[in-house]
Amino acid sequence: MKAALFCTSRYMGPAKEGVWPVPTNDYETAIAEHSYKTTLDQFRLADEVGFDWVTVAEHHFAPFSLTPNPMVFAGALTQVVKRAKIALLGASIPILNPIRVAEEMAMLDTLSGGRIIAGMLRGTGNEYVTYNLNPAESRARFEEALELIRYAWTQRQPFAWQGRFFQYRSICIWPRPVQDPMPPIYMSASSPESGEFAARNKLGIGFAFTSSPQAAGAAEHYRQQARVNGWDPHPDQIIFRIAVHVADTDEQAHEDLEEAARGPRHLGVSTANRAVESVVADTGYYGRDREAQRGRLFARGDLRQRVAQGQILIGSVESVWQQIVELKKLVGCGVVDFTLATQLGERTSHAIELLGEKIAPRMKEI
Amino acid sequence: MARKASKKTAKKATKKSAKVAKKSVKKAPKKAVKKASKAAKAVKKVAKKAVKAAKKIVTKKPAAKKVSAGGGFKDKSVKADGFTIRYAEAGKGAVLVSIHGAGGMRISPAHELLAKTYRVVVFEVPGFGTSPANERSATMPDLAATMNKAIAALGIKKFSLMGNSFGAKLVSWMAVQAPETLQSLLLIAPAAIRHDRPRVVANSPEEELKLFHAHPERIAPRPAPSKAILDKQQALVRRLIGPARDAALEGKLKEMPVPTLALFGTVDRVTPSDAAYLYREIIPNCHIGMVYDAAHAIDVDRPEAVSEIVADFIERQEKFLVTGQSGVIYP
Repeated sequence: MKAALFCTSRYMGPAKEGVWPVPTNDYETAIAEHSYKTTLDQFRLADEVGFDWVTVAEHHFAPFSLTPNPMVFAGALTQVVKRAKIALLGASIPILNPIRVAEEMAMLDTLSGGRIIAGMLRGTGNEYVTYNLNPAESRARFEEALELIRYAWTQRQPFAWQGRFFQYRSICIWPRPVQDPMPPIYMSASSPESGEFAARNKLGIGFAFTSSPQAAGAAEHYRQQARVNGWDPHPDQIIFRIAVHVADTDEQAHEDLEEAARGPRHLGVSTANRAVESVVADTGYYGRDREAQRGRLFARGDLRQRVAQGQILIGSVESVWQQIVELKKLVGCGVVDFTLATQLGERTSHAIELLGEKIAPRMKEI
Repeated sequence: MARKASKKTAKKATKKSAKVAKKSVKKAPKKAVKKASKAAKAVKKVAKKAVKAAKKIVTKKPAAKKVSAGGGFKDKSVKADGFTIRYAEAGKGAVLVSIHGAGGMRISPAHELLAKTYRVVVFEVPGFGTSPANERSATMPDLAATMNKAIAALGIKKFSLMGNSFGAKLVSWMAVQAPETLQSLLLIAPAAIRHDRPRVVANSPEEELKLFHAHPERIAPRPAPSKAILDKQQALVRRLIGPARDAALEGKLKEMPVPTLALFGTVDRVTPSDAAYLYREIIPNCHIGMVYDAAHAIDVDRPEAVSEIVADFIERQEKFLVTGQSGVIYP
């Protein structure tokens, strides 16, 4: 297994809760600068203590994440993270210019010496509000954008593109990806449609903001569909993103997490504005298991339930290790994308050290 | 009875044309603010033309006993080089000549769209369809010469030339023989320059449908030609098509100055898009284009996408590289 550290570059100051987009009345530039610096420091540390990947994501208009363009942040990471792979999980390709995505990822792959993981996502529903695109077309836009990016990475002669959503007359990108023929591609596969598409196209998949039983079902569907298409995914082609806190003892870990919960919450962008989410849901954005998909976004429970559901890993090194073993058994994931409470200063750094030094080496063995 | 049926067809066509015209008229004011005034005027002109055409259909009596090739195309024939060559024609304006692939002549939805702007002449190559077996054309250059003569016999002096698959190889030969007659060359899912690998073969009509179309479920079924016709056509194609990398043709294409556009379907397994770069490397003035989510029958799978880029290339050639449309949403 591989250990990844995910960080949204959360704004570390107060901001209005329960709305999206979040007004910037309370925004302070110094806090934003400090938040970026903290994230860079945490990623640098993760690289030093043995994480296999560091991961960034794209979200807009909220303090939940200060990386509306994860490529820009990954550009900075290429100069800070010297060894680990840099995973973009991902670019929300249906709302972007696919040629620009191909160019930026090729730049990052070159700057990092071929260490880019190319996550291609549809984005959360509110992302469609961000650039005013119809969420009903998100899946079709996603599929075309992905194909176009792959052509941009592999064609050597200038070519035109006559798509449904994208039209270009002459494409020939410089630089080109270092990884031949292209960086490994991952996509979200929570819905059955996405799992089937990933299986048909031999892509890796990832799960986030879900539970381990739900992900286990989706992962099995993906593996089964891959077999139908004549191949077997490697465990490393399944990423499971999960909240984590690890401390020297179980008690300390729980105390830390309670303290973190008292600070600014900065809800995930999909959950912060039910009205927006509901408008998006009505367009058919979620696919054929719409209610299950929406349910996972709003699932709540006490800490014990969340641990049991594989929504959080918490405790001492030994406790967290046991929870990872269970997760692997259930979901079959080869990469765990750890999301830490980033605002705990030294204790966050200590958690990164424990994960990188004590847990990541054991993960390599299973 | 037949008259009644033709009347009904004409009425239907009128309705369709009127609908198209109405749509275009409706779109026109929006486009007038969106696009440069020149482009808007062109749209209005097309819309007016369509209305006029619609009116014409209403007033004109349906021609008796005229067999239509479909989509408003009229069946005709021309004598050239000792052959009687069938062709279908529709539309007015600059001439676009089209040559079919190994499967034989077909009026595609892209032809119908292009016939709104161009005089589209779709030939049936001697030896295809119901024409007698063609044992006289000894080589592709021979057959190309015959087809160039057929075009000349129609009095067409300057035209754009489009070929699908096997037809793309034939039009490539026609182009190298008479480049001065051509405004532009359009190669659709071309089999002119191919990687030397085994041909993907369909073993049943269902497999063939899947091989030729990205979404076979969207294709209206059409009667398959008889086995005798298929055998005759296949024998001719096998005899003439030549090697995957045809040194004689490629040598001449290297000198061929005609602006060329080669289009490939992104899911085409018959002439896959991985050969596209070869056209660009060999033909001096060649652009290549990928038609997303189209299989070998690109012009049937994505007719709007194909006809748009073909028309833009015919009109603007090199200038088609950058859009002439305004990005203004509201002034």
